[in-house]
Amino acid sequence: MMGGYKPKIGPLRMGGPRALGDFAAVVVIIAVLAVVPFAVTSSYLLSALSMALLFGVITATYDFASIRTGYINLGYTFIMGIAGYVAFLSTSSPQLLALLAAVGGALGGVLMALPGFRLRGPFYAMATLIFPFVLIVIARTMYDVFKGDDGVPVPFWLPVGGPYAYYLVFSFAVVSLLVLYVLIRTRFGTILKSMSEDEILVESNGINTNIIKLVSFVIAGTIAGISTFLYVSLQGVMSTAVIEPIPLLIYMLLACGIYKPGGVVWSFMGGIGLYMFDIYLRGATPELRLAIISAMLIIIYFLIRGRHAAR
Amino acid sequence: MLRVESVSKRFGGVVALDGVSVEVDKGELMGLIGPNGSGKTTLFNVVTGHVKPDNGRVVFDGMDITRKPVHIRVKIGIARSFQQPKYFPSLTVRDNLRVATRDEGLIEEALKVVGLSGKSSVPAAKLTLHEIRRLELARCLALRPKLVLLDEPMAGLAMREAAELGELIKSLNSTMGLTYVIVEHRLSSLFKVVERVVVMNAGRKIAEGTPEDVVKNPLVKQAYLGRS
Repeated sequence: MMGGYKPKIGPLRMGGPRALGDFAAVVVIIAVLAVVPFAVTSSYLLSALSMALLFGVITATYDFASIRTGYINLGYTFIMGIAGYVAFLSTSSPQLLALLAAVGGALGGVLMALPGFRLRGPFYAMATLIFPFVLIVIARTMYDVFKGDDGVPVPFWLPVGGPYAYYLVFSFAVVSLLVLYVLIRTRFGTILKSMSEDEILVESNGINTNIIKLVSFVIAGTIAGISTFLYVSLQGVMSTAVIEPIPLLIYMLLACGIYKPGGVVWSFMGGIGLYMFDIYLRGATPELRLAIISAMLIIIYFLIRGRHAAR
Repeated sequence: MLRVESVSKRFGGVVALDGVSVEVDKGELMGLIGPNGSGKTTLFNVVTGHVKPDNGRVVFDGMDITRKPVHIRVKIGIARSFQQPKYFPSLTVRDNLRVATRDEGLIEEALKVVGLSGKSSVPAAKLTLHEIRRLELARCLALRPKLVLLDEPMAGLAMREAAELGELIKSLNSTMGLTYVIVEHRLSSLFKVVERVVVMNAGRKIAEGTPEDVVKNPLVKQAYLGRS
């Protein structure tokens, strides 16, 4: 009765009105971002926006691997650190740098996924929080290699502040966002989402959830790795500042929860907005910055609490 | 088809299973009953791999699966439902089954068999309990199982709904040749469906036989009604 069907690859699905809304948002965002260099003449602002775009991509990958699966990761900047150090300590060729950053990011993703084989919930979150701090300690202790807080100088290959750098980053962001957007609309994306709801049930559907976690973190890590390569190239130095989880992780968590958990498009937008806000905050007093970031932490607490209460 | 050999499991000081041995034949409809805490669900968990036994073996289709992970056991043909219904509330009915299989034809057929074709686009959170039980069954079917373990599938259902579900299980057993083990507290409904019953109490198997035989068994009466 039910045995005559041949397995087929699950089709890409556009979903309902909500998915169409997301798609429309993607188109509008891309269109707006594409014309930015015509409207913005300040090279500082263009450079800041380029970095914000890259942070938006990193936030979207965080949403994809961590928020969507329910494995809230508090050490995601570790992936950026591994990618950056693997690349910039190995070569000065831009092409090789990008490749090595991708490999480093994937490796970071594997290392971030591994605790998830044994730990869940707050235990996983706490375990991952240690990762970036360990890397920072190593970078400071082995100063001769990593140059600690001063950082490894980056070879000049990208003319920062001009339209070329912006459009390079923009193209990468568009491709990355589309890759993630398409992936969450495949069966793999459905499985990722279902894992945050009930992992035991996912296993009971014959799925090796460890493989799913690993693959999602490798995909996210690879994209985040290339983003880091571009991000560091714009900054000019690969230092411990790239790995510091605060405030970047707070922005990531907040960006992923602004609209709904698991929406990479909205996380991307939230990431851009919060990064620009952070640049604006850098002009404020340290006390005001602390107060605002603390307020963000409280919002995150209620967002996460609300998410778990809703289950 | 399934052979559980002298399986024991302790949770701290509690003996959940104490040397339990059970055999299930291919195509059989077997009931597993016993008072609360008798070890029925733990036995299910041992068979599906959600709990590792301290001692004993689980053999399925001639293969020792005692140490195999959950997902491998599903791949070789063991599907289950849960005492507390498990489903993905934010996913549609169809997407719930897509987690189980990428075969759209199989999903369509499974939904049709359990009578949920008209609800395929509905979020699972909006289903009634009766429909959720059917969704669980459809999910099991979408896994192309050989053995289906149903943990209290009739709990919380009205008499008519329970009877309908029982009929559905029976018809799937006869048309598809699926083997079922059903844990159920509603004995009258269960006995209309199954051919053989295993009774457990305090982690041990205390009786086995046809529904008519086990209800007359003094050990079973004692387990359910107490010594008095």
